[in-house]
Amino acid sequence: MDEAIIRACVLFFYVLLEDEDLVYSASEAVLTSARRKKFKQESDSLYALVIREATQFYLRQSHKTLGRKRPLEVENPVPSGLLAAVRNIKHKVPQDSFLPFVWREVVKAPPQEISEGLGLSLGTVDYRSHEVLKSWAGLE
Amino acid sequence: MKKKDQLTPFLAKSLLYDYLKGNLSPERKKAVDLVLQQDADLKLVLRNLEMKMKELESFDAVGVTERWKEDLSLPHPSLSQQLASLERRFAPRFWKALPLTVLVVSVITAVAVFQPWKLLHLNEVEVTQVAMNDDDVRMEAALALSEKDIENVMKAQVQETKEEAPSTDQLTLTGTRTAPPVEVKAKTPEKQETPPKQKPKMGELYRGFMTVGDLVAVSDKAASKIIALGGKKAGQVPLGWERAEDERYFHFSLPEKNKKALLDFLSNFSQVRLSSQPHPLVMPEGKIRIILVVRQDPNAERPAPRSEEPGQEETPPSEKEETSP
Repeated sequence: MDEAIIRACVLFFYVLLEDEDLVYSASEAVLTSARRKKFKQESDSLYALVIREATQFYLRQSHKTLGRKRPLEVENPVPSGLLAAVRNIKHKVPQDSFLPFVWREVVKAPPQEISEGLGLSLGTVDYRSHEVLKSWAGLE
Repeated sequence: MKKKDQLTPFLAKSLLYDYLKGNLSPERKKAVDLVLQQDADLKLVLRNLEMKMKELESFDAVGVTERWKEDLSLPHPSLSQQLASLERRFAPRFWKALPLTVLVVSVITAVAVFQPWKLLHLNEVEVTQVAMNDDDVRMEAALALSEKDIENVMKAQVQETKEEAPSTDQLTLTGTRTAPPVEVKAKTPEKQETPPKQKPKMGELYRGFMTVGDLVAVSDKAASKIIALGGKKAGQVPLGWERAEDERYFHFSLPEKNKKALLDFLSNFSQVRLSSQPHPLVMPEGKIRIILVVRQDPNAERPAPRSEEPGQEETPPSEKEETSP
């Protein structure tokens, strides 16, 4: 599988999950599900499938059912203060805006894949990302 | 810049995100720049946004370890476990079975390619052709047979055809042959080519017996005459072999046309009893096989004993057993 897709999935859960030991299991579950659906030709783009599966996985709180834990192993982890600041944004903005922001500004996934994965237009993805960014900057 | 192209601070604020991303057209960018020069608050907002976006660039350096990449690249955890289980289960068997499998495949391939049965068949055909067509070769093969070989073959033949009594034609001194002419036929192919119930074609073997007064002289003359008439030694003993002290043994082949001449010659010494027996070995056309035994007449007066040569006492190993009747 493409390393960029794996990294995007891991980074998405790295930012969102409070328990970092669940990042691996969540990523594994999402990538497996995406592969299976890709095999069934449900979508042409595996990246978009991963974005959709990961978003739904997070929205359903499925990570709370994961029993297998594995210590986080990422290269160049971000400072904990920044990570906590980003995680706190979700309490200030609606989830519908926060998740596109994470994909667009944190993970920096291709806009076209985000649009396909989340079922939003490109303009909507940018607008919601901007709104979250402004909120984070204390401008709203 | 026209007034209609100028932006309000509100509009300029909404365009700041695209301004930072570089998504604005040159005219729009110029308009935003103009507003930013006039509005210090908007400039502060822009600086905050820029700072946050710069902070987010820290996430660009976050990477996944190689181990995670490998693990997450696997098709499916459960499938991987199944594959690993299968590998553990079958790998030892596979390595054990590999040499045998390679051997079997090689043998099958070799058999399929070389087809050895064809080679065997060709050999049989070759022997058959020689036996059927080349009289000289058949003759040599026939001559190589000793009397014991002949007797063995005859015994086997008698066992096979118990009901068929062998017809023996007693010949008198003149030795007129009454047996039918013999067709050339090989032993082995005969069984293959003729139907099983058909009577196999038989050859002939002549057995002769005579009693003489001077055994040594007669034997020497008979051997010379046989050679003169085109006879050839058969079996492994020389012509006139001293089988016993009072007995000489002649096993030879002879052109059939010279048989009468030989009998005429031998009749000068004594009466010759010659009998014909059917025999599975078929001689080439125009050739006959004769076994002649010459014995010393016990009633006749013996000539003076000649000086014995040491070589003549030696008995060939293959015919030693035939000395006892």
